[in-house]
Amino acid sequence: MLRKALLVAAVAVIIYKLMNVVIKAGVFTHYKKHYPGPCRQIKGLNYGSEDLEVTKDGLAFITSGVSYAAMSTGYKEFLQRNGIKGRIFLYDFNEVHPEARELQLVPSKDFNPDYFHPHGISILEDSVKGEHIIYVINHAEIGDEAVEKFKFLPESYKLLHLKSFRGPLMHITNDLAIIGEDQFYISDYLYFKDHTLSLIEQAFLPFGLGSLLYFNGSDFSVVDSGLFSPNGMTLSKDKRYLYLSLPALSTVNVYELEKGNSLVLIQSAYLHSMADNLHLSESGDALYSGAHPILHQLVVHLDDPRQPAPSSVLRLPLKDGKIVPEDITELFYDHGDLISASSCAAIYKNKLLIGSVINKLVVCDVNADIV
Amino acid sequence: MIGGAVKVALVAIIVYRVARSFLNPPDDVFKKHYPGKCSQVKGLNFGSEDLEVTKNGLAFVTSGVWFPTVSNKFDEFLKSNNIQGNIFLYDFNQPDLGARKLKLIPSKDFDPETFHPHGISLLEDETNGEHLLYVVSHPKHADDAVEKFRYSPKTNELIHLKSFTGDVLHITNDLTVLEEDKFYISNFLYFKNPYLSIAEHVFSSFGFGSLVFFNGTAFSVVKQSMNSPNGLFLSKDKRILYNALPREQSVKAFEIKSDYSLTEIQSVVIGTSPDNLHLSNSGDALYTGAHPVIPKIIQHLGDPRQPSPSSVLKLPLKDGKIVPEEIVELFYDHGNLISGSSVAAVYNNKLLIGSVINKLVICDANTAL
Repeated sequence: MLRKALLVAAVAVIIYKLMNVVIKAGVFTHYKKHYPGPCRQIKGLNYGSEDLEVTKDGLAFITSGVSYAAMSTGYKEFLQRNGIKGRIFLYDFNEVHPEARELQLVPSKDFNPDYFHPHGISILEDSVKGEHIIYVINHAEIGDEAVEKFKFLPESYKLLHLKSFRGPLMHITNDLAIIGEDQFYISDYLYFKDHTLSLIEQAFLPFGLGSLLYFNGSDFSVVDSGLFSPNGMTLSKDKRYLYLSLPALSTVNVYELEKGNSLVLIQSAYLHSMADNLHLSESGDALYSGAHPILHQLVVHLDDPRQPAPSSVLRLPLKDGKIVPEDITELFYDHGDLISASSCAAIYKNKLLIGSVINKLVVCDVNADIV
Repeated sequence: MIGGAVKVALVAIIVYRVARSFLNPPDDVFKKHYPGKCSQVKGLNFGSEDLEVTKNGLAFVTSGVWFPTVSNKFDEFLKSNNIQGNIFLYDFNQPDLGARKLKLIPSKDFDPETFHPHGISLLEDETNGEHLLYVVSHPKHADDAVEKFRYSPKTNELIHLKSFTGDVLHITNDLTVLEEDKFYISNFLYFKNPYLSIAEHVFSSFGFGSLVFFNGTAFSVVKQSMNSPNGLFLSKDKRILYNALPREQSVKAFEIKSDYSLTEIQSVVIGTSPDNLHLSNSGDALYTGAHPVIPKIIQHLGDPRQPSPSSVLKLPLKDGKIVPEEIVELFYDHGNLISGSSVAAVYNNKLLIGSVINKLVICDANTAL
């Protein structure tokens, strides 16, 4: 009799926990679409704009064709079938009818563009000559994970490869944030390179295997560990605060940078939405993020990129370095028809640029009243 | 024995979790967003439950709603703030005037002191601007009635012309006028007794509501057993009747037959609780003020000092039917700017939003609304 009661209780608990997973996956949520103004897909870019950064003079550098070892077979087959390569595109906000222009990657003895799979990007701007230094996470198809350093040549639209940075602490990384030349923070996002182990790592482990790394110019070190899939990163305007998104927890962590580049966690903002990459506004008063509102649709999309996944752009206002959760606004919501699985967003002069993991690049008119 | 127990446990848990998730989305799961600059309209603080806008931008707004089964705190809120039933005018072309109270001219059938307006519907007079206003009213200690007024633009007065009442009206909500003295009205609640009303709220899906038609002389029920039918509006050609059912989170479309009976042609579940409906100027869409988080609106109606989020949706129409994939949310506020949105209308790319017992808000829009 007791055994039967225990059995009933056990079944009840299991069902309860499963329902929690189903609900968290967004099966029962109904969001409505909305746009800040007229939006259009940018021609010439069809297979991803996972991360981007916009310089002060309105040049957006965009990584495209992301892939890493732990992606599903379906995803990798999609890349193969469509001949998708790793690329970097340029979108110039100043042009009258901007489109996405592929930048030529100039190889070096350390760098072969054929094996390039870019992910996160961060820029050290050259406001004099415009020869911006571009750092990109590369999940090299052959060889180790690396941070690639390029110099942008504005006359010829080329990216000249300068250097590669590698280290044993880098497993599957995601994004980086530049403090100074050859000094940066990196999100070490996933530990396991095998797809199944990676799913277990992301969905079922009660502890995180990710970490936050710091490269000081010569060596890597671990600044924070035990993190759940740390993803997008960016710094505040005064470089005093580091923002790190943890979409698996629907959270953005805010760290204060101390002397010696150690970090103190000062805020863990729960967003109720899976924010991917983060981009600071021009004035530094807010973060823009491409987010994934419905988890189960994202999972299906990453297994078969032909399946749509909804996109959402959030504006996270900042005050004294911290995010103000009550003032978070959503600038854009699409069910996946215009753009699937948005992962980054930036605003430059009343235009909102939205990138996605492996789908389109979209630009919308916005108005100063709502940004 | 185990099989049975397991089934019971399973069903119980599933029902509980599903119900909780439907009823309790965490407050911040929806993010706020605005179509442009929004501000509260001056002059109106206690409700703009329903409104209708004329072709030249005059919005007639009902305010100070009350009906027989409201909570004690709602009653107290009305009393302590001296809230009376009123009709306000907001002119889109003269926004600086804010919302102005219209003077109600009594008649032998109508005492403004007992006026508690709810839904409103207009018959426009394009020549003289002497629009006919039909308003649902819940006078205390008397039956629900539809009050007919003529608007006098020179004096900004509403002259009472006639009252319509009948046994078939229980607790009504909104109406929509087909032609002079011919209208559809929604019976959204049945019981006036407070205890029976509580039971009715719990079991509303059993269908105590109905749609009623007044043909100029008598009322008749045209649709029975509905779950709290609420807002009503006609298509531009007056051939289709749209009805919002917030309890079901749906909007229904009915074709109006020559004998004024209704045939349901569409029922769309929209994942939020729509209150009143308003057709766009061109007739190509319906706008609705909705209640996105059910526990919050219940709390707000129980105590109007508690905020409730507001959401405005645009439901595009094609060949008379709503196109669900094209539904857009034009506005979402957590309840700070406006609580309990119940109606919305667009004029000259400006969005006017009304609420059950809270503010009236006007927004500029940067996108086409």
